[in-house]
Amino acid sequence: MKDLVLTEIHLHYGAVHALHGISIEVEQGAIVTLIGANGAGKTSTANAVIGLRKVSSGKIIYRGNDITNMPAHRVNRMGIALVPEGRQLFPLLTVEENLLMGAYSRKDRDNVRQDLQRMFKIFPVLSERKRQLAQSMSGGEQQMLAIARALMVRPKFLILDEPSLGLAPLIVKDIFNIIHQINQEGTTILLIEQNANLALATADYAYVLDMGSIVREGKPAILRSDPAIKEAYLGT
Amino acid sequence: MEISLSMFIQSLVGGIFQGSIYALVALGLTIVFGVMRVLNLAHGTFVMLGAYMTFWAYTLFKIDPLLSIILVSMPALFILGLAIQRWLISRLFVIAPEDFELMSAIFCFGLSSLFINLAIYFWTADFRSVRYITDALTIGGISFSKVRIISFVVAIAITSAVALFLKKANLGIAIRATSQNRNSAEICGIPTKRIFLFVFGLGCALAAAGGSLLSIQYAIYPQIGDDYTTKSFCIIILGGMGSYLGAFAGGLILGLAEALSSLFIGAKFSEAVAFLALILILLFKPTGLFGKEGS
Amino acid sequence: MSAKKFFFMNILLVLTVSIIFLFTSIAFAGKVIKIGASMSLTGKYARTGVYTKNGYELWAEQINARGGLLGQKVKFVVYDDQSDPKKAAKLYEKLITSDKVNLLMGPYSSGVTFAASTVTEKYKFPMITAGATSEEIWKRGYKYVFGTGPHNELYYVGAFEIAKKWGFKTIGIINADDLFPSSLAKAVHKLAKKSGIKEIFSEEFPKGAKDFTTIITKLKAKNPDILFGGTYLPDSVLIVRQMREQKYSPKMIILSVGPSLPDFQKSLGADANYVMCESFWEPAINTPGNKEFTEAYKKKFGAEPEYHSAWAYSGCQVLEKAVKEAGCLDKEKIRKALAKIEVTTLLPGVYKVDSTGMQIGQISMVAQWLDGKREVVWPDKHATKKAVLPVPSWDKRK
Repeated sequence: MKDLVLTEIHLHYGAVHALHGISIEVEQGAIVTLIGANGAGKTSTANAVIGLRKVSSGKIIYRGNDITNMPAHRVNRMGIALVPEGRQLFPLLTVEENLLMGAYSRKDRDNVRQDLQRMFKIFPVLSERKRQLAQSMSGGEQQMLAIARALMVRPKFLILDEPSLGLAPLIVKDIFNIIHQINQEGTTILLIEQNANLALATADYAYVLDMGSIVREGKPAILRSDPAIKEAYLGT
Repeated sequence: MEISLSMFIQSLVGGIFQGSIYALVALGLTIVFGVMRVLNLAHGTFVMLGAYMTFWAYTLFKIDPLLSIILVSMPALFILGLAIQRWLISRLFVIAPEDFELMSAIFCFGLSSLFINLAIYFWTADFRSVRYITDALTIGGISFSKVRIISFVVAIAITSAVALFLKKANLGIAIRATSQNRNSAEICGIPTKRIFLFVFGLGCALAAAGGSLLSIQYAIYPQIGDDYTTKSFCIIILGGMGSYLGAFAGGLILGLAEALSSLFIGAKFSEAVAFLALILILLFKPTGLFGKEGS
Repeated sequence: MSAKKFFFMNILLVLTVSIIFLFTSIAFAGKVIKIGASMSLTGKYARTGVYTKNGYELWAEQINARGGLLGQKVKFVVYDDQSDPKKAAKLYEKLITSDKVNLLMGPYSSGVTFAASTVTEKYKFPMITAGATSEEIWKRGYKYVFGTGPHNELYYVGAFEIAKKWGFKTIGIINADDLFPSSLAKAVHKLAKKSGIKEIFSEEFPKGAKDFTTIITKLKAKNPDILFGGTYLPDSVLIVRQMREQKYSPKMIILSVGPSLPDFQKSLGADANYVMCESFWEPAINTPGNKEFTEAYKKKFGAEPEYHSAWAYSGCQVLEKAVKEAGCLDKEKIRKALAKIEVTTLLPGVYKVDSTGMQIGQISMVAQWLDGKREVVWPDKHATKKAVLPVPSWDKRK
């Protein structure tokens, strides 16, 4: 069953044509990755799905519902969460407040409290710093907070935009372990990554984005053996 | 002239009383700027409208001025604020997203002269005042005007209530979140357009509360708010644009600075104090006393 | 009738009607004397501006009913200057060059008049002001601007006569830092010196100040016999309120502008009592035509006239006399007439100017709030009550 289906998405920033009719399908329960160079249109795709950017044409269907150009706060209510590129935390809110904001749309306040404790268990470093301002934390801690904040809405579908960017390898490994764990608990994942090696090692299926178009797609194993991909994205 | 201790204390008291109203009004301005990036040059005009609401509620329906703050002036201006945001400023954001700050300033300036002229037309330029409590307490040679004590208490109560709301309530945290990163707020499921509505309404209501307190101390007239626009801007720049603590402290500081400069230098210069403080702060700490850098 | 014929008939009809209109309007225009003025109909002086305009209008209506000026009807062309001096200057330029008005009356307030008179002087066009008194206007050696109200130096002559009679020795002077109040303060300073009253405190405060705690604290420490405040209404009200709060009560209190308006008493109630102020005019004084003016004003505008309206009306009376004296609308002849005539108006003195056009024949009366009424206490000729001095301290008041 398909969780998310993007059909022929075009997106413009003023005169700039950023996405040239891309189509993507994400199987329920899968980890699908979108790889590509800087400026290929990866973040534009994430923003189009989540509702931060309006598409010019095309359709975005989530579990049978048309969510094309739906405002982001309503997309969030459908169970889709985004861990944005560069974390995009609320810098002057405390760690705890950031997490609470992640659950803003939820009405079940008691369960929110429980989930807060659950996040502190998954990310012990956040528990230690719950009264600190988000901006006072290191890059890795901020990334954890960004993921935890997204999880607070109990998403059925999680989009991660460049979660490894700017982080030390050891922390990246931690974060990817957590991504696996989240997936295993039943959340579908769309992973957007510049680090193609890492992404292909993690995902069940991959799309390669170049200049706003999908140029290749397939199982990671097949893509990894493709010489063109190897040369362009895997750095070998 | 020689300045005695009691003169000094009397000035301090006057300065704090005055400063509490500055703080209340400036808080409204700083919330609106912090969250929406609207340079609300009409803020003082909402002070004026609040003052008239209290005046009319008292004159026409004999509603107690303090009661009318909660029952009339704050709700009325909250609704006016909602309407302005819903039908005017939100459109401006669609039309001119690039230079929204400048456009919003120009828009608010126009709005302000519209309201002032409407007030002159419908209510005339006559000076009006509510005759409320006019006597004073004298403690140890220092006199405390009752009406100003009441105003002070009300101003501090409203300011604290709003501060507590922003600090603790879920909606309050969401307002701060929206001001720090609107896109992130959206993806967390915060309906930021509705937050904007609420915030502009709240800003207007706070200005109105200040106006109501002004109406029981002072003769009011359609242009009475102009001063408050400029002073509030000085205060929030002094305290740090968008900083709630800064607005509160800045308001009290300005009130005290005006009182003390008029005691030691001369009343004529008290007006210049706000601008002097503004210049100094811009030169030495452009983010303001309580401004957070790089956010 | 064929369609073509019908068409031409119509054209003919339209032409005839137009020609009739054209001729009548030319004829009518020839018979109307246009008097131009800019007025603060909006902006900070809107209220007093409207009162002044009312005075002009009432006079125009009455003179037209009497058969007009030099046998012609008069008509005011009034534009709104929004209380802005720069705007007023432009409007007078327009009135003179594009509307080609025959006569001019002044705008409201000293500041606006100061700016407007630079234009009228340039065109050598005589202008009568009935809303400005600052001596700065006449210090520039201008020849075409004529004052009708008592000039600043003569506002408080009576007040000092009273003060001397009561043997008051010291004065504290405070004023808003604005052209008009500070020129009043200067005049009071001179009068005090002349009367041998010592000035022991003086301070300016910003126009629109909303707290007088500190100034009153200082005054209380110096404790002069007389307090003079160069104020507008809101500050005069607040000063009295805060004086009461601090229980500060000098022997004589004189405040400008505010106490001359009914709102002063409405805002302060009994606290308004004993405060003195200047008074150009009161409805009760016995000047020729005053009663009739007050009645007519109430009938036309549905309210008691304020002194601004009476002053404006008096300005027009001066204009009327000058035009009659000149016998034509020639600007030089009118100017000469204005410089030499003496005219009795609604105001208590006589219109008379010095060589600069500054008013010297009008003096201001002194009024005092007593029992909730504004009473004239000086000069004796117009007095309705005797001044009550020294002002009782706050705890001795009822």
